[in-house]
Amino acid sequence: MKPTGLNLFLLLPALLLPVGALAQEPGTLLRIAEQADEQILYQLGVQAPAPEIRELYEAGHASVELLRAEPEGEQARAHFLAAMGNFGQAGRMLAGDGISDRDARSELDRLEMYIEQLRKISAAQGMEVDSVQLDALMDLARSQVSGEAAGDPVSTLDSIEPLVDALATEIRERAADAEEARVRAFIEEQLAEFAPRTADVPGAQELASQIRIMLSEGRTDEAKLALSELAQLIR
Amino acid sequence: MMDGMLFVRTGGACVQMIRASMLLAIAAVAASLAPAPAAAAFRTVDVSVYPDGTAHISASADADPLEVGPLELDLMAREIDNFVAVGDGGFLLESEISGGTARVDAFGSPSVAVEYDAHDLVSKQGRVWTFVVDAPSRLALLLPAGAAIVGMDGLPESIEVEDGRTRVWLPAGPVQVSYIVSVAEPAPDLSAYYVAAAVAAAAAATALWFKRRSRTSEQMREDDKNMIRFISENGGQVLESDLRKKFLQPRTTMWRAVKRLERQGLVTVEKRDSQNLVKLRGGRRD
Repeated sequence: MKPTGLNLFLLLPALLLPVGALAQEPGTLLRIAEQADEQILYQLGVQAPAPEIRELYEAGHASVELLRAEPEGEQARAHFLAAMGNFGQAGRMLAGDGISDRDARSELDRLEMYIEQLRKISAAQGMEVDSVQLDALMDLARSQVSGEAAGDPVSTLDSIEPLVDALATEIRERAADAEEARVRAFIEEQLAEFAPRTADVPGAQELASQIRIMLSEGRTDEAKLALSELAQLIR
Repeated sequence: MMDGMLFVRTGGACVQMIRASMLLAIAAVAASLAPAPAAAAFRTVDVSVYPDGTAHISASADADPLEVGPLELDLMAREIDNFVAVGDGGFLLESEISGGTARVDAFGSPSVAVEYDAHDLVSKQGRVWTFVVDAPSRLALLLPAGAAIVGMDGLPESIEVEDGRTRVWLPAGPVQVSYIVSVAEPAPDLSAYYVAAAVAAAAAATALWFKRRSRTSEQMREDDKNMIRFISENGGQVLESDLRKKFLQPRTTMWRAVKRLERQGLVTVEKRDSQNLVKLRGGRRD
């Protein structure tokens, strides 16, 4: 499609905007600032705060009002940063909630994510791993966290941890064994790919032959370096 | 004629010698030089923050499959667990982590995907959790369920809510995002309901505190007692890494154990040269 005068006229203002503004969705700043305003106001209601915290909130709220009146553009960004700076400071001055940062559900979720990663790796490399005991304990921890089973999930998580470490070690060891075969296969694949081009480059065919010898003698690390050299010769 | 043939043969021998020298040189280089690491930038970074302030990070970077040296990746955090680097096709890549940098052997793979948990990207002050990072690329930050952003020192690109969790997209560069995790819906009306709720919450928290306090003194775990004894025998302070070596525990298990003792008010943890120094409260105990 050829650019018309109208297209160019419509595109011009967009081209003149700073990159940050182009990447920003309309209304994003106002939505975040309004949410922060509501949350700090709620916390102030719960805590009966010191006057300086309330002053910070009011300064932030005033910036939100300005942002509401002018939700886009350079001024809007300034109002947003002013509001969020004040709200953030006010929030940090509020009393703590006394809630411990220990959270069995978080720990369980993290372990689940890690186990899932390990499973994907073992599947990708065709490994079969025995995780019956681990799976049973994970089920138990899940039930304990949700309150469906009795017992302390933290103790169960402590029992799970060494099993996960053992699983990770087993997978890493077996992956290391498979690594050499993977590298060899990659080098052979690259040699086959480079073959049509080696005839025209002095020394390339000899180097390719040397790489094959290195592979046959199990000198994989040297073959990797030599393949890298061969790629540079050919390029 | 013979001379000519000889000349040709000699010339061929010269070419062979030059080629042989070149191969020998390459072999010598291969044998003697350690390949230099190549720095790589992440294409995408996804951060999912858990309610306890740890963050799970998923990131991917392009790699040169013919690069022999390790790929250096800046991990944004220093306290890292459960690190996994996989190549194209999902196979595990060999990696080494040192001081917030991962060195990954990505030979044979055009891309590297890493996943890990970071313990030092989020801190808590009062009610507010603060996520601080110098993002190497555009970053998607997924906050815990019920989290509301209350502070920010940069401009976000966009925001959305997914299953009760706020996701905010941030441009590359340093950024700080503060949030409060609230179990109640925010409301601007400061009614007596909130006062009653606060009183009830305070009563519940007090009851919980007493329950935990009694449990701490009566049901201290045997392994925790051993740790306290070991710290005491070492002048009242040891590095967390020394505890790991002594009790042969994985990093996360020991980190959790130290956190447990810290919560029970038995130890304090200080940073010393990027390491955690665990100190007995009130010094040595016998």
